[in-house]
Amino acid sequence: MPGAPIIDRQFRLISLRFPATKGAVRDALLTVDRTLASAGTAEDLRTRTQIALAEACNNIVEHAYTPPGLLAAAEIRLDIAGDVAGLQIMLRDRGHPMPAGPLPGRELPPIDPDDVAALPEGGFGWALLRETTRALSLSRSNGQNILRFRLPNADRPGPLGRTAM
Amino acid sequence: MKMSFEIRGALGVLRVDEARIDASVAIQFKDRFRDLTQHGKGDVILDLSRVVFLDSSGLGAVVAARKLLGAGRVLELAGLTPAVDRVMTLTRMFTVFPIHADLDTALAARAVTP
Repeated sequence: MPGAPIIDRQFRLISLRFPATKGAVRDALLTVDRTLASAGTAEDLRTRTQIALAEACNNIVEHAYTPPGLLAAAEIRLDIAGDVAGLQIMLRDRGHPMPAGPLPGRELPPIDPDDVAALPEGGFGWALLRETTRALSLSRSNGQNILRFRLPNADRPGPLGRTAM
Repeated sequence: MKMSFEIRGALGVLRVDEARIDASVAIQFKDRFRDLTQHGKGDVILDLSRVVFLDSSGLGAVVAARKLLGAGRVLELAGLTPAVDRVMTLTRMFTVFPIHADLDTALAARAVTP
């Protein structure tokens, strides 16, 4: 009905299917950025979207679709919806499930600036994903991994201490 | 991977002419960095002003590049664009790399005429 509050509405922004390869992930991220830019999404939110999607997609490429398996058919499905609070992301793949147990947290690998030879070259992915997203969850259904997370419009907690989501 | 290396006084300036250092080019970045810097002796400034995006694999490649120089040479970063700056901040890389606003500032800090 006319005049209905827009606040509860979610609108579909992007729906993509692409091969689970590093090159296809790059192309998909460029498509996402172009689409969000033309939809008027703020640069700060687009930046966080790029960081989070890169880490989530590369996790799928590197871990979910390792052999043995039908690598030729390895595919990632990405859906992005928008609402008044930000973006809702859903990533689906048919690769291996994550190992049982809690998902990795936001801990960074140990960094000792004085010990150059021991500086970590990896282990940053989940920290970046955690730091840029909210309400992250992973489920498994019918052989499919479903990763969901939110990217709020405002990056920092509001005056009440938390951004409502 | 478009990267170029130029000697400026006692320093080397390595410029990356790519928009993204991500998982699809991380290994190329590391290999090219090694090729370009292995015959020099001085510290290196990595000019990232044309790089608009860096993921954790790209970050790992920059750390690997720093390790290739060894403890005797320093790797400094210049010209971080917003997304690159965000990744560097979230991973506390400012504890590992001296970071300059741009190449001219980095050169001036070493008393090299820009």
